[in-house]
Amino acid sequence: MSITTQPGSRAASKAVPFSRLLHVELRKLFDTRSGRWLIIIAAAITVLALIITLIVVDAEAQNFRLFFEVMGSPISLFLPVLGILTVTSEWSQRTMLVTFTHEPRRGRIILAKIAAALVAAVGTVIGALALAALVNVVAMLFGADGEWTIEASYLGIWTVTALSNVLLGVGFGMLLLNTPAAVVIFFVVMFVLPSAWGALGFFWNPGQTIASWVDYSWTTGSLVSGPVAAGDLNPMTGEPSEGATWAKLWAQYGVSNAIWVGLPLLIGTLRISRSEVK
Amino acid sequence: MIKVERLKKSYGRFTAVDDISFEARQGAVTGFLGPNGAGKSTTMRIMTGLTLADSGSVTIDGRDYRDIANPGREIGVLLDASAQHGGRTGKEVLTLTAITLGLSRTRVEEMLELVGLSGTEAKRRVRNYSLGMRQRLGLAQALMGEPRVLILDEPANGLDPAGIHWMRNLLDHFAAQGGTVLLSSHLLNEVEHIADDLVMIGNGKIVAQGAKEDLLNVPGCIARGLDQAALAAALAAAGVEYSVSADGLFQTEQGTEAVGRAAAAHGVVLTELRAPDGAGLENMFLQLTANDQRDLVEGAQA
Repeated sequence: MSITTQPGSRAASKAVPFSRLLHVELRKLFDTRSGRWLIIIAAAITVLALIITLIVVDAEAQNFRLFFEVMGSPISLFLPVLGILTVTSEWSQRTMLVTFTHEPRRGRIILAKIAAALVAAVGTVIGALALAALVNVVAMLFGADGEWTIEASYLGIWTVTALSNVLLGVGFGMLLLNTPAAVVIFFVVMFVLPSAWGALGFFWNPGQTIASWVDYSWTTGSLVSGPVAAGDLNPMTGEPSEGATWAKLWAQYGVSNAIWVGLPLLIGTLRISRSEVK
Repeated sequence: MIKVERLKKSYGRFTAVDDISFEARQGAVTGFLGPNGAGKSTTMRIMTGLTLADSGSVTIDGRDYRDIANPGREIGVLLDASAQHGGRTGKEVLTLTAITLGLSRTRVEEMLELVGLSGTEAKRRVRNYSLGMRQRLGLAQALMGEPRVLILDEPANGLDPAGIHWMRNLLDHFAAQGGTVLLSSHLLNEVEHIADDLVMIGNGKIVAQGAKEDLLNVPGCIARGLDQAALAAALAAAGVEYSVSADGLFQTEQGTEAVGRAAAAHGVVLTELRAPDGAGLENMFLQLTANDQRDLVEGAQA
């Protein structure tokens, strides 16, 4: 007891290395009951989607790429929520009192949280690949086609959108610092705004063009679908398209990400850096 | 040593901290005392870099908190024992701190043992902890990095008398080894037993500060005589200034000896001669903060 309460006497402590901050932030994602349940529920929904695919889709059409693709929807919901929670749970539980007294340079904590979210997203992609492979093997046992090819570009874009999705969540979390508000706004951006843009485009033609640059869900979907030749049906609207090259798709994706990911991260960083922590 | 200099913080028109200066010296426990809302927590948040002051400064061993590379290894902070994630276990809370500060995991076990949280308690989620258990966990967290300075906001809140006694020993020991302790409380009797020095704050201003003994030591004495008029004459003749209450109790700023000699010189029989009422600090606390005590103000108006 005498040793343990003895005041320390080191002259100057060294800064906390970023690796330790990252380690802590990664651990915080999984060490609470809510964090664990989020992962369990997301995994359960993903597995359910795979089982339905196994049952419903024709055996000849079942392959590695399809199983991987099926996981896209549940994961695109899970990652933003994970991103939101990594920030907002600190505020709702007021643990940032401790976090920021251990590291008063708040920018480093923000970076550690962003890095932890990105690591989680990459881990999710790798997990999805492993699961798709496992299910593909199972499907082959039941007479499926079991094709293993997957385009590198498709895998790359899939990973990029996963990273964007988790950052979208982190940004909304930092902007609002409140779990329910951030989740609601996320669902609005993901599901309500695309319909609203669609309705607007129906009455007012330029609306569709604007949406193809600023609607997060639209640009993400278009990028995943890939280039479209002029005159072909637009995968997002089902109408003849004016055509889209990779360059244009990436540009549109970049613009919408600047608005929905970059801006919230920027404003959120300013907010957290300046706000009083109570 | 913690040095607060001309610190000021306002929220709109409300001045939470109004130009305060004080020091918490090394090797001592300094009690930061004041009613709720007096500005204690705001001061401590400024001290730990969580809130920016409008003007003035706080330095800890000569440095701004935000300039300290790994503050957890030098300064132990407990600002709010309730500010823990309810879904984490007590052990996990300390493990996160150990990782951040770069300490071994055995330190977690040591700290749990030190603050008296058992193995089964440490595995429970903080949501199920009593306030007293949270305070112990918070104290363990503050002590993890072997700090030289402790900043504790209302650490005795929720502790039972045995817990307060335990904390007093722990902090006494820490200070005796050359540590600096600043702890706040809105309850006088908590601080009275723990602190060496006192800083009293009310309405954002420092109303008294100094060594506990000096503050406790109210000068003067109280006397009562068999013959009230004779005692009055005796005191007047000896040049002792006094005041008399309705029931004949004499109060003076002179010591008991001066009053005793005056009474003896005039053959006055004293029935009572003693130092002022022992409630001392409590009275002082109530007096000093009376204007800021909402209860009293409302009571007076009612």
